Amino acid sequence: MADSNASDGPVALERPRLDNPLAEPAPPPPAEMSRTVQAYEQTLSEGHRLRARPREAGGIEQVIRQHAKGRMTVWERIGVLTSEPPTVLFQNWGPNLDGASLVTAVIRIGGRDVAVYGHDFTVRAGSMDATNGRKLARHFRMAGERGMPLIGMNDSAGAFVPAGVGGLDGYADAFTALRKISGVVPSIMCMFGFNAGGGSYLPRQGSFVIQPENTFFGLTGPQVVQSVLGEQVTPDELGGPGVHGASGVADLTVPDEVSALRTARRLLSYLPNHNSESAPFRSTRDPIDRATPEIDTLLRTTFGQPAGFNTPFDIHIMIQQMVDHGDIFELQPGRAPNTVTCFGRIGGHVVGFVANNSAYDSGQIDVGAALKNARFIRFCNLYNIPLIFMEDTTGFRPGTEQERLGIVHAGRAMLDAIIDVRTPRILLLVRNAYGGAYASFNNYSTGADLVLALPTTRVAVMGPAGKEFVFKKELRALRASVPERVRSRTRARIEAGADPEAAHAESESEAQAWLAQQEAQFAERYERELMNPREALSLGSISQIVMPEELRAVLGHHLELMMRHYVPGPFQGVQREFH
Amino acid sequence: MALSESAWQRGFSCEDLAILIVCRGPVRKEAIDVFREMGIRRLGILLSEKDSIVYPHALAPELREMTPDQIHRVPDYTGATKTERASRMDEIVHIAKTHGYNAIFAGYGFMAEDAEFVATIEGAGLVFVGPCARTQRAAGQKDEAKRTALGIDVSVTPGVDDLARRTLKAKWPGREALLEGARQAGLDPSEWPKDFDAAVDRAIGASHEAGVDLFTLDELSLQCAREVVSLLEAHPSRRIRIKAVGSGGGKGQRIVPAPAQDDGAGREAAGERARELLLEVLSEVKATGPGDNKNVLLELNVETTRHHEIQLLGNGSWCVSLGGRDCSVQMHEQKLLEISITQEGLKDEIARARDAGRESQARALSADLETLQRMEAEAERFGEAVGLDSASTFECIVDGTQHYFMEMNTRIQVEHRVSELCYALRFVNPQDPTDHFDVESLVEAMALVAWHKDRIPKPTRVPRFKAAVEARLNATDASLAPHPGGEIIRWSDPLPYEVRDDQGISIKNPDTGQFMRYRLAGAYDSNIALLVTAADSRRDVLEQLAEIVRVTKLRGLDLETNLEFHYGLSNWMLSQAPWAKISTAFARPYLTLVGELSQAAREIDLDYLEKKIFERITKQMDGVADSDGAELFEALRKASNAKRTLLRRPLHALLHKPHVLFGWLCRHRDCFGFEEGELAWKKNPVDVLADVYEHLNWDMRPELPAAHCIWDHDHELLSTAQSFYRGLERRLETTDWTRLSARLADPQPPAGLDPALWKRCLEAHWGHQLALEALNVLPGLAREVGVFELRVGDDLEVHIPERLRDPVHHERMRRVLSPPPATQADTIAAVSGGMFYAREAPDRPPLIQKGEHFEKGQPLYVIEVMKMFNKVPAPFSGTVDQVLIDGADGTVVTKGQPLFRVTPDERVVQEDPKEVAARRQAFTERVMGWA
Repeated sequence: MADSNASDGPVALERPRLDNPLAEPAPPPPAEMSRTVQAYEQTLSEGHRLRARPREAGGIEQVIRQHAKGRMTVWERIGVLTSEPPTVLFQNWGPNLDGASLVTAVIRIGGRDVAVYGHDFTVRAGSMDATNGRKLARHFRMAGERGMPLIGMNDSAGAFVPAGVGGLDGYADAFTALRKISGVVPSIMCMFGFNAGGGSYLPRQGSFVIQPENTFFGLTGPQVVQSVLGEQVTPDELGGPGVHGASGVADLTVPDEVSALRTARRLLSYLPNHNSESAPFRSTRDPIDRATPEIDTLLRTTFGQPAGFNTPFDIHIMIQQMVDHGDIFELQPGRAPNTVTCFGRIGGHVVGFVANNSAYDSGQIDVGAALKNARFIRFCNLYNIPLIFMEDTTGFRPGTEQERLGIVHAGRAMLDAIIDVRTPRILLLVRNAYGGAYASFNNYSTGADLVLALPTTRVAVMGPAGKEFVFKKELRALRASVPERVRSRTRARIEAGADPEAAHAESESEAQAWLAQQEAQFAERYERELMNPREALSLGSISQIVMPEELRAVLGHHLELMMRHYVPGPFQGVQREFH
Repeated sequence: MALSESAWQRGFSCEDLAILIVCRGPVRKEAIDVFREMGIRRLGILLSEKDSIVYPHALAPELREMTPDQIHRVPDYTGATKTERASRMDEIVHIAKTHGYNAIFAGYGFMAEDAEFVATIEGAGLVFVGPCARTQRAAGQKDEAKRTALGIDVSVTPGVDDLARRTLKAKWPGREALLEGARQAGLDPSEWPKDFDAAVDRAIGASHEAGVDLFTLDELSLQCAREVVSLLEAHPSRRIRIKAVGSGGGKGQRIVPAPAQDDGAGREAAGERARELLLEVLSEVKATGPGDNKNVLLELNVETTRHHEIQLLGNGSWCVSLGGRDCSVQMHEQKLLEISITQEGLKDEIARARDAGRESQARALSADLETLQRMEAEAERFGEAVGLDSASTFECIVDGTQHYFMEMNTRIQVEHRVSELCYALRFVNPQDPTDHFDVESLVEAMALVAWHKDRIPKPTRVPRFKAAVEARLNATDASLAPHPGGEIIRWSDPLPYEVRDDQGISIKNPDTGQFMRYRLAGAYDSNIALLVTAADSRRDVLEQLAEIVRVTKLRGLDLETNLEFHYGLSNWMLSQAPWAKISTAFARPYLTLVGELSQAAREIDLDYLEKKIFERITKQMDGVADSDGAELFEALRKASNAKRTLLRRPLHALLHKPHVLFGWLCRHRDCFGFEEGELAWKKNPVDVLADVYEHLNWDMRPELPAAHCIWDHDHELLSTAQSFYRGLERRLETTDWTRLSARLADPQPPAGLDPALWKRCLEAHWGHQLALEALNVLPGLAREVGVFELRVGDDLEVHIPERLRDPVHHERMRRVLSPPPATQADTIAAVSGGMFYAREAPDRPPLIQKGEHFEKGQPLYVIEVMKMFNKVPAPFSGTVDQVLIDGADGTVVTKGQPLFRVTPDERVVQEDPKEVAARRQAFTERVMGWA
């Protein structure tokens, strides 16, 4: 501690210092020792200074501020993505020659060139102005032209207010350039810090958004919400990962920045560089004909429950058994868990899975599920990724809530996305496939290359309620016969000496029991005769029955076949009205 | 072995063994590795359904490196009922035979100790790699085992091991009466022995075979009461343990409380209580039917015990002890830490204690050495007596200098690694003493004796390491309660001296080399892995364990483990005494202390602390030469700011990780002291801070993400400070902080030092120590809580402060360590619209009824949506006050409709934020010693 008596002694202290006075001073550079400094040397050292500028522009106090929030600097973030030094582009852009609070670079990840950008929050809070907007736009165009995937590390306070309209133009430039490379190269956006307005739209134009805990993004911050609507809300409640993960605005939510960046790398391993090539093939040691008896066990255990064939189960387990070494990468797990969208590899080929998950809400397709599926299907379609659809749903979810949310439009979006698919695609019928859900879920007519069915498949126009239509006449006759039955039984009872009133009541309940039993028989008959794959097989709507143990082998074999004949390329053709 | 130059050694090759492994967990992976290394060509595993299909991301990781023809499947290993079990055994035998296996290894699974299972395998002509059926039977029945033990002078707890026999003898006091009674019960006693005692034994055996009872439960319990009374007469005021012969796994045991007063009435009351408990015990092990073995053991309960066990290996004719293990650190009857006890290790330690003049410690250790020698000798005798022909464990409890044999575990245990690291087995050619080979793996030794049986000569044990330890890594929260369901995303690679038995979880994806996610399904128990390490002394081995735990990075989603518990505990043992005599009652008080620390740490307001320290710093401006206050203020502000993350980040981490904080305090208790209530650092706070970073495993490593190490500027600041002080220490020729800091308080430059440089040094000292006062919060918390009151005496006995023994306090601190989820809700509402069912099927009971308690995640009701039946789990735990659906099953409900009125276990307690802030600020002041 500073000594309070310092003024009394021979040495008086002035101020604290944080260096090491005992350190040996570093020797001066030899150039300066030997000669007087010439103009040329001056320009060289100025060059050194300029080069170092973007890395030092924020100053140590700003870096400490960033670190105090538990956040890394943009340079440190790049260091998590790759251990090789980045190739920085447009180094000194901006009036202050500091890179205009935005770093654009090309880095190497697993032998692939990847374009990255990241806001430097330590410089003017990573805000956007006309300059860095143009810089970003130029970077996006370059990624599109060279066919390099893009990773964005967003950490920006928004438009730089002193830049006025320039900041807005900057955003508009970037929006436009990013839209133009959408569908050409995939992009992964990490949301760091507190991004509002343009800082949210821009990353959401990208293919995938990853959001860590303790971050916010959204249309506006909580202060605006408070002043305009009087709503008191925390940033996390307004635009934290809990909110965006459930709505699908964030495709993935992760605990922290490092996980976000590592997740981005992992996701990249399933994506092609651009739309003219297939996703990275990776030969596997997992035999393609590996039997999958666990799927058999799963179904046996599930259907052995008290609810029998109406017992939900987790479809993840089935997908996991089919893919190489059981490794899957799920997207939007926090949104509409009644459907599962994930990547996996079979025999080394990347496959997109779209699977109804009966473990949640009976696997019904609601607005969230339909939009989640549509978006994923469209992505796979654009980037040459084959699709496997797994159907086990009792249908679209009915009701006022869904209609108000626009289920018709959402379901339509999924249907259209499926019809548009031009990459290899397979439908695997797992269990339930009723009515409209069957009709819109990648059957032969909507363009499937192959439809396979497990023996547990129950394809029908309607679910169990369909008995009312199929056995309409029989059921009507049955119900109509009840009063006569009651009358005759009552008569018989009275003749046998029973009290008339009691006789009637007894006969009534007896007849009702009889009716319930008869109806159950029809229900059972309906399930037996119509809720099975037979009719669909006979019509060619199903190509073949596949047994649970051979799922991986059969799917792998067909996929191999299809991929041999698939030529990757951009998705072209007439633009349809809806996406 | 097959390639050995010695024909004698080649004769012990095991290459022709074809082993089917029928177990799961860490030992399965270990067995695969060991058998592969032995050159066994035919090797397979039997999977049960639970291994792979119950949870996503929970495939048996071993499958990644096995081929499909090595994998066989059964629904489960044991079957749910007796008939299912019999058919499962046949199925396993059938699988083995049709796939060309000649041996079965059951590890420590349920079947490993099942004499019937072993007999089935033996009967089918297969080799069982494990103790034979005869050993299983002889050691498995608790009463017989105890009798055998008594016969060969093995120390057992005082008590009664033949309550059934005594009941019978009391009922029919002579042979004639007995025979008459037997005849009436429908038995034929014509061939029974002449000797009364022998006839009684025969009568009991015959009644089991015939499925009839010779005495009523009432008669048995009456006899029980009499025996309890007479035990209490001989051993006043003791607690008595009642144990059914078929007990195990925490079931079938009860403790009769000590009598309220030591007189006839008190003893009678205890006897009556024992009668009730006896019935509970018997119904718990399902031994109340006619002809079931109703024998029960009554034993004095040993109160402060340590749990020691001896590792044995035999071949049926010889039996060798491989030293002991102390397994006393336990929680919920589950072992947490197993540490070797060997004669070599103890002798070394005794010598060290004598050299250091710690006589009472040497005496305490000598007592342990004698006990160990006795236990090992008894274990070998017992192993031979029961014909042990494989690996087993001889379990004892140790009470002071007494030890008592409890039971023999006739299987390999997870903790066997501890013993095999201490001793290898050396097999010597009887014809040629220079011709020998060593076996360092117990699993390998089991295969060897199973295959070669009597041919193999008795080995000698060869010391390898003097100490070894195993820490069980479990999926538990900070209070050590199970926390299943988490997912491991990354796990750092093991250290060179770390043996990690992790069931194969760390086997990377063979295609990518990436760690594969693993869901901790918790289908069996919470164990994830065993962390094992060995060294030359117990202190070294604990240091290694602490280091392994320190640098292990285990990341995941919703993942909680006891890794930090092990860090705290190993550092506590190191700081107190590595050979502390920890009892089985230690873990709870220990956790309670950590809970107290956690509670106090959470009350620290770091924002306030930072603010106050800056205020205190600026107050010092007064005495400084520079009159320009504004400039100095700015310099102080800058210097404080420069240290913001340097100080704040590690303190925040420590305050939120109570086990790590506890470990740090133990490790650094010599770095500070309190003199007249004032804290004094005995080590430079700059170096203390560097230690904190190291302790948190945040050392600067450029290959790691920046967020996982010390920030670069903090690293620079800290290393500059450290090199400044190292330079100063050289100049002033002292490394003692007390002297150094005293010298630095003197403005007079030391002789030979330029005054200007001295001034800069003092200014640097000022700067580098600035704001480090914040570190005082750590020792301050230790003092506030009384962390060091849990200590080990010179005699190695653990002193537990009285407050840490209170069960109510235990429970309170458990909730501090792991706060249960709280809610404001008092109803459970329908998650979706559909038809409501209270039960899974019409013939089943409701999932929950009025008045019943439910745990979070427990299914409460079924909702049918479009003919699919969804079980809905409870969002929190609580008790049902009322079921709000009056209709029958199938009632239509709407989304959000209340279904149950409930009282949640934990309610959100609303506190006034201002009050909380004031309380925390006052507490922070007190801990800092400012108040």
